[in-house]
Amino acid sequence: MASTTRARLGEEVWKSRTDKINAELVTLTYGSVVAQLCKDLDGDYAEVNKQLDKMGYNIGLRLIEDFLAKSNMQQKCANFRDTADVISKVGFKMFLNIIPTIANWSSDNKQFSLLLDENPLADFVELPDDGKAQGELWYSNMLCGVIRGALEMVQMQVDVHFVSDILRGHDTTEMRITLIRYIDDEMPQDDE
Amino acid sequence: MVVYAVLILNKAGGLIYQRDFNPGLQKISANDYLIIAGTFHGVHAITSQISPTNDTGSSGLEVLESEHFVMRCFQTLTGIKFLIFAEPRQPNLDVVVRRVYELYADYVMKNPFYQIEMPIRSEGFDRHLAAYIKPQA
Amino acid sequence: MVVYSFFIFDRHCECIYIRQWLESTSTPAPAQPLSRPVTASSATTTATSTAEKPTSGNKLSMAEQAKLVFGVIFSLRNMVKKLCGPDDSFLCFRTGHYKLHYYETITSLRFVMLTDIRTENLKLSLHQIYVNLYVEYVVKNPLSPVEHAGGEGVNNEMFELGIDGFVRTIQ
Repeated sequence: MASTTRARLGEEVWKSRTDKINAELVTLTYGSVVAQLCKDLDGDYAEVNKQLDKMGYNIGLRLIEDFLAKSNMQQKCANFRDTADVISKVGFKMFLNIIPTIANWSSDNKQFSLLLDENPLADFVELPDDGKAQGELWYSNMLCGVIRGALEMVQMQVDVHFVSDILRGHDTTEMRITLIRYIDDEMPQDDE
Repeated sequence: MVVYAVLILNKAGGLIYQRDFNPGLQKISANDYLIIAGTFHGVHAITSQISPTNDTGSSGLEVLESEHFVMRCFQTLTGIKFLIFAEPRQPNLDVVVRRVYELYADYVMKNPFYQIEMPIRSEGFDRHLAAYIKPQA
Repeated sequence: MVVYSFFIFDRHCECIYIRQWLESTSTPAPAQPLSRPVTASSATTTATSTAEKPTSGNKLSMAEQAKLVFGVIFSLRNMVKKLCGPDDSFLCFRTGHYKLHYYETITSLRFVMLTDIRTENLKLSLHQIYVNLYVEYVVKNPLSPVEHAGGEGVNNEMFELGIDGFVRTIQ
């Protein structure tokens, strides 16, 4: 599938096959989840990042099925570059109506970055001024977990983390995705 | 009709003949073919066991379809299996498989030097099989 | 057409859903011109791998049957991929008495339906079951677990009703 076809597919699924709700409701819901975690965990932002990632992971495990059902993709991606293209143009488009820029490929084609020019989760957000959050909290870390969970279900083990965030005063919001390995098909257990 | 390949399996699931006639299947090693033959032999037996109907004497797998090919399996009363691989949506592989069986009976079984159950190395069989299958493409 | 049974296997090769419909025992097997030569005796004499199983007709328990079905689809799927490359996929097979239809998602969920032999390929129908029933009623049910060990979460009422309705429409 060519890159432009994917862009069209993402557009089409977003327009005609996606139920939509008010964006502010999503933003506020996500915001209150993060804020509550920060409170419950007493400002242990490393732990907050971890919990967000875990929640995202559980969402990803399910969301992939909705993604495949709606996008009607039947074939696995031929390589990791294709995977990146699908994540950006179909996945992000379909669920968040944004198309992150794919950048900074490593020479072995196993690592790339997604640059989120806009981030619906982070609208209206200003990180707390406690001297820690700015350096430790990855506010949108749930996205990392979603990608990790979704790719695991299609036999890719990946590492996903944020390397910069506009909320922290960086120039861009950048997620780094690394392919660790392709997971082999599981074999049936031999119980004879 | 394009026939890709013909395989013949003996009673024990051993591969005794394999030949490609037209491109369509992957090139795989002789050893891989042996494994496929053995696997298929086992699968064939199980497919007759999992029949959901109450009819007795359920046959094993007869036709297998994939996106890229269709395979007709014909098992003789003597337990030999003929597998014909062809391009998808071929309605009448039955005729082909019958004819291949006849050729086998003529040029393999009637050859006094052919040892039953052993791999088939017969120039006559090769030639006649090719003459029958090739022109149909 | 007649639908006999329906199975779902997950990526851990475990059977997470079984459904069986009563067959009308009165329907005789349709005569298959070329299937005749294959008799029970020739089939069982060659069935070396399974010969030790007590063959009391087809009275296998559904769990045993599911295990055998999985063995078959798994082997055939791998065989097809070996013969025709990784983007080919196994669609269906038929014997003289039934037809087995197969659909696999990219996430390695496997949907299997056994019908009578006159039924056309059901890949699209199985795909619809995945999209319209499995994803909607199982995956999106927030209270159902993500993994369905022992079938937990799959056999919910909405899904069951959906399957029943669907099978009725394709029959």
